[in-house]
Amino acid sequence: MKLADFFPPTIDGSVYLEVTHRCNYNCKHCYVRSPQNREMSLERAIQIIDILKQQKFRKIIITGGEPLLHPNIKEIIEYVKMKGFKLVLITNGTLIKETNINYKLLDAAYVSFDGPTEEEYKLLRGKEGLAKAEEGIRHLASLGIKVSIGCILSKFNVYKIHEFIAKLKTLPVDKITVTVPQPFGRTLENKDIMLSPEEYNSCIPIFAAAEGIHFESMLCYPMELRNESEEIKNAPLFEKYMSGCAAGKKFIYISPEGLVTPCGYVTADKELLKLTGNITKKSLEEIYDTQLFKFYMNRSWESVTGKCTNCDYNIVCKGGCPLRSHYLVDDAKAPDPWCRNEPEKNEYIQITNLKTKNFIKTEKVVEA
Amino acid sequence: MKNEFVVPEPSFLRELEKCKIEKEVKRYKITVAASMGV
Repeated sequence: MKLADFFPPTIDGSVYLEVTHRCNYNCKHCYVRSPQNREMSLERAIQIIDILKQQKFRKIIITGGEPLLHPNIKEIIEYVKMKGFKLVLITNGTLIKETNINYKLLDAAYVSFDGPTEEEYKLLRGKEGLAKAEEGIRHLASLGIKVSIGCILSKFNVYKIHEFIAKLKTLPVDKITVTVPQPFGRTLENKDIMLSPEEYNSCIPIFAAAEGIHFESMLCYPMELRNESEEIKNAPLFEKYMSGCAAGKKFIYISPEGLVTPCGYVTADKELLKLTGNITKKSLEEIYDTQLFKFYMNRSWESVTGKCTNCDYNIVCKGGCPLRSHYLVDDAKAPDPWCRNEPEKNEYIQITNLKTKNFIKTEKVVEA
Repeated sequence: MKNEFVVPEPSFLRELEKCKIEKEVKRYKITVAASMGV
């Protein structure tokens, strides 16, 4: 029996559909390396949505690039809803008011908001747009759409972290998620915008004190995740196995060409894309049997290496993000280079006075 | 890169297969469905 036989990603039923890699911005941290001329035709989108329905997926998260630039985005959204999927739109928010879409069809939206001012927005994204993004957020909220916002904390704005938090609190949103640039896609050419693991650690207590803002936790640092690790150690085997990184286990990504990947961060890497298959040419069962999917599906506490073999948290963490290891130390199986825990010396990062509810795991899927 | 993205199949797979997997998957699906409001 193959793992995919009993836990295909359909178990959570979520698909990230990259309808276009075109974009009206040129962000220094873009993992897709947008803008690019990769776009899913309407015919291909319908073909893929039909396959996803047959495969009993339940939620489609439309993403890009900037999906509102797709010439048929209205038709794609209407088709997704006609097929009965839950629908989430991920957008930079700057084109919301000028795009003719029935936004009420959305179950939720996730909008990028990289402030606190136009100055930092322009440094990261190449041109101004924060005011337009805010206008888009307020428009969606006025329609009764659940809006989450995603913020990047980089070298450009980390020194304004308190001002940024104050700005975020003025927005009419359900959820605010803060994350940091990751070493994927275009960030690999702009590593100077990344926070170091030490800087990342120093931000945690600040977000821990901010009501209503979730800091996306990359590793098992915050105590809540450690407690969860303790609980999961005693959980049934299947739950234990499904914990941690959700890539290829709870959701999949589909590129504009139809290439299926366990993680969106793969989408700009032509070499990694060779290790998977195209949903318009192969069955999902065949794709789950490709090298990339088997790698993600087989990762467990048994496959960790180096210092992770002695770590108290390897049940949940499973070695961290394999792509960070792949791009930063050239070995996807190596311990996550961002991890500052030293389990062999029993030295774990200690962060005190946390409001642990402020922390979410990076692996969680977007909630509709 | 070829070997870099290869890890062995987890040994607990056999345990999952022979005992509680069906029950566990069913319970997991119910939990997920409830959390998604399905």
